[in-house]
Amino acid sequence: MLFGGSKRTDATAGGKEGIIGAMTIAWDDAYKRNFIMWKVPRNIRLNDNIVVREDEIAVFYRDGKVLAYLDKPDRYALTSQNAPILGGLIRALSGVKQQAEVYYIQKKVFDGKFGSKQPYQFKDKEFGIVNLRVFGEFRYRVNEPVNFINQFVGTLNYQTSQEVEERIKEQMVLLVYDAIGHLKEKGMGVTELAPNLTNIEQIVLEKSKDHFGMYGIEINKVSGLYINLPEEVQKAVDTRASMQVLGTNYMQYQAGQAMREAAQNPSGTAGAGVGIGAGIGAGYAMIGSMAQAMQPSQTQQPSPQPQGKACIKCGVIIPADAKFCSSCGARQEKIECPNCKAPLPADAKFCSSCGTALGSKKCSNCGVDMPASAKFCPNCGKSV
Amino acid sequence: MVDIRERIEEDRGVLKKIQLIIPGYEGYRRREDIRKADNLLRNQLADKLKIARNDIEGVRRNLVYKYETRNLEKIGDLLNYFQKIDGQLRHAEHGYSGISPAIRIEEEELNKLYEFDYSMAKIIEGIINEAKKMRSVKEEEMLDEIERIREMLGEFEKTFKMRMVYITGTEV
Repeated sequence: MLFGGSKRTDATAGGKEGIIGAMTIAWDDAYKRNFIMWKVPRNIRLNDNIVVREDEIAVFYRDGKVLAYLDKPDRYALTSQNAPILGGLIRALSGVKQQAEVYYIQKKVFDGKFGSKQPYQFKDKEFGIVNLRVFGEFRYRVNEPVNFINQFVGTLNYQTSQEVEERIKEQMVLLVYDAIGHLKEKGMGVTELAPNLTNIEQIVLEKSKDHFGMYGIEINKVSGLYINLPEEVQKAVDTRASMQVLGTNYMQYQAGQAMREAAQNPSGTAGAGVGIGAGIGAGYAMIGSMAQAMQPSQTQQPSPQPQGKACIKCGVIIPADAKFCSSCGARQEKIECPNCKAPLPADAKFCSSCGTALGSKKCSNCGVDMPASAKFCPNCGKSV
Repeated sequence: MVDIRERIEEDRGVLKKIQLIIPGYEGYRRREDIRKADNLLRNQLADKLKIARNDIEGVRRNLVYKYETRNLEKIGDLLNYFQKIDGQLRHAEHGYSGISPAIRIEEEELNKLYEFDYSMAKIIEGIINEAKKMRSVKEEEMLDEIERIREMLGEFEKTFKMRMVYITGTEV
């Protein structure tokens, strides 16, 4: 039993105490999980043996003083005047019972996660005030057991890893905010935060020493740091990143995007081939404007605007006011798919995006009009 | 540096001395003492390596407080490498052999193991000296210096990993 009284026996002691009441004490694995420290629940007696494993540190206190700091794996015999006869005699004569205690602490590293509860308002030069949220992971361990016992156990009575982590989490968020704030002062914008995440991790790691050293805790890794930008800012950042990769300016990038969208939205039933045609048709006009954008001398002269528009089905350039395509005959009017809202030619029978049947049909049983995609009549319920 | 094996021999208590005269137990006691000496030696080596790590942490500290991010990531990676080597040193194999093993590890091999680990101290000295230089290195030369220390650590790791192969004489 974990917090039993002085009669607690231990597996390592074979369930027996010695003649003078001494025993071998070890931190049972079954009780170790989730506990960062454990106080041996009885006063140490003369020649009690304690087993310190590879992943443990034991601190031996006698009369309030740290007498031994046992961080090497071994079995140690502890000296104390507490023994059934001698200890009892001293107590009877002086009324004083010697206090000898042992605290075990896990040396292994523990993992924790942190995340901001409130957003950090970052005043960016380009985007104005941007709300940031930060998330990340950290690894910590106890490196100064005496400080840890005095600051955490003594002051706050924290014993589980969860309690310790709770304390660390908020501080970690503050450290990240602090790092971001200083980097902003150095001229870093919101768009540069993402490529600097590992640097921010290093700053936080270094600064954590000052904050957690006094608690006897060492943060030895900060990883998976993520700074969450608002969606619209993220979009703008992505656009900028893409523009940098492509080496284009905003106009050229937008033209390229439009080309891609046009190619991805084929019209009518003709399928992908026509779609590509439409894309090329639309893009053809844009390539011209891209070329102009690349030649600054030409941009000073007003360039003739292309007359007409691309057919929504085959992409051929037709007069701007044409109602039908002179090439494929498609009606130049768009409808919206009732299912996926994709824009479609007015005469489309099926949605080219999701395949939904368009238009209406009559029920063969009762003659009521119903949507073309209906499988049962809404009036009589007959399967159609 | 003192020979820890001798110190352990000198400090044998009554119980250990009794064990040394019990037939069949003597060899076990001697081997166990060399393993303990080797363990203490490796911990010392790891502590020495920590001196170099502390120097580099000092450099990182300077950069952090100036918010100079140029070399921070590389320094962080180097410090992680130090931590990895630290773990390998402290928790390396002690040189135990199983019941009727293919290759026995006797007192002679354990002594070789101790001497091998002892020889690693020289490489660590080199790393400590190189890390000391880091404090005075200019920012533009820092990457080269980091790379130099990284290479030295790499060499150390490579050699250290081969220790059991060397001492058992099984290198192919």
